[in-house]
Amino acid sequence: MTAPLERGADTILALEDIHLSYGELHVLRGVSLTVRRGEVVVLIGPSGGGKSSLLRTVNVLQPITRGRILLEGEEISAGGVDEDTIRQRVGMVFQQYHLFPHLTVLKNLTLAPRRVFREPAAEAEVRARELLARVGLSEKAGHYPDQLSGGQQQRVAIARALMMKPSVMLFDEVTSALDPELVGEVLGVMKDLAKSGMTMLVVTHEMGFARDVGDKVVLMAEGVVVEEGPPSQVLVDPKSERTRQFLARTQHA
Amino acid sequence: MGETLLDDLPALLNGLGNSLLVSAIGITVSVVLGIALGAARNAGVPVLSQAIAVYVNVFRCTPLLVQIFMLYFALPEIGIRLSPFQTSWIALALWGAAYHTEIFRAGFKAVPPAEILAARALGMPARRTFLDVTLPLGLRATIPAATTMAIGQFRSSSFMVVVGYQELTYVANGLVSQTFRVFEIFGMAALMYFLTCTLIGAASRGFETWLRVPGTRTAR
Repeated sequence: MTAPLERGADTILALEDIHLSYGELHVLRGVSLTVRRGEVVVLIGPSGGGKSSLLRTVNVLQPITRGRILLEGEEISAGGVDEDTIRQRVGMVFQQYHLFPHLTVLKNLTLAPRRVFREPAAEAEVRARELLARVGLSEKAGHYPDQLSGGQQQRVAIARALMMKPSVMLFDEVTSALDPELVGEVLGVMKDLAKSGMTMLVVTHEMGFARDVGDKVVLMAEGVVVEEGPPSQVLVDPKSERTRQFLARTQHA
Repeated sequence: MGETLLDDLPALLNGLGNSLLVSAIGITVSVVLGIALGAARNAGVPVLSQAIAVYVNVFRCTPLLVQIFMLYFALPEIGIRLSPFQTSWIALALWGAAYHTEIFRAGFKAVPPAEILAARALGMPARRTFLDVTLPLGLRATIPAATTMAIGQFRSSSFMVVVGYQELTYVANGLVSQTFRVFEIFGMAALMYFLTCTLIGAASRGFETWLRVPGTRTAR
């Protein structure tokens, strides 16, 4: 299932034959994937299939065992790269938000750009307030994370990642911890982000989002890419039996 | 030394002042050392981490009184002569830092790894992440335990009677041997220790409330 590798200027992220093992456990078994500028690639598949592990390798939170990862043409999987600089270019949003509990919403947003880019506080705050307006949380700037609902916290987490002006945003099951009625507000923010042209790699169980927002849907299972293509094909008329099985199960759920 | 307790009060207060002085220095040094050593232990810095573990073990597993004797009577044999005042605050600092190291190490370890991961995922370097995330969250969690230790250090300043430092217990003891009013004078000294420790405890709880993050249930 290895897609031909494009290394044009519009390729933001190229994964080549990624392998990852935790001891005996072979989590990723040769995954190749390309994400182009402005593209929304949605990773679906059963739990334990390696989707979240793949995201962590892209943000160099998890070193890979074999293969290559290219971010905007530059290899980031080799030894000796500056992990911090790479992470500044790859935004990540987690399932459990992971906001800094001791800082206000505004400070959650401004901390990293101030520390990493030495951005002046006033400038960072202006940008933070713009982003908070964009995710519909202007009035929450002075609140602490624990005073917010899960959906609000997750929107803050998205804004916090955007503060670093990343080249690509990774979303790791960001609605899975939310009450059903809060899922919509987070997906709405992600849709707007996709419309604004942000490059996104999204792990989700939300088939509606995959269908409506995804440019490409990738089904991963047992550490390999089973099938990939436009949502109209993968979700509606899948070629692989494994994909059909997975979709049948999610529709019954 | 007078007829009544009132006449002895200035001397006792002077002793209390000296107790507070060595305690303040000793506690401050030990807390700063404890944070630094606890952080190094938490980070698992090779060699340094093992050296700190040995230091902690030595000072936790020998009596404070023996440590004071070593500083005051044994060190001169290798040419290091400390005054009673120096011995007092150094002993409180070295002994206390061993405990504070463990207290802060535990506090830093209790910070959820996910918060640290979130900072690293934003591209914040490890040292910066420690200062902005691990330290402020870890310190909040350690206030009650560190306060208990600080109170213990202040009370243990009475051990300095053995090197002749003019702290509260030394002064009280002197007054008793001259006046034989044992109950009144030691009672007064005990009350002074008690009130000071109560104040330290109250200040610590106030500090905790002041640092409490609005909305958190866990900090209560």
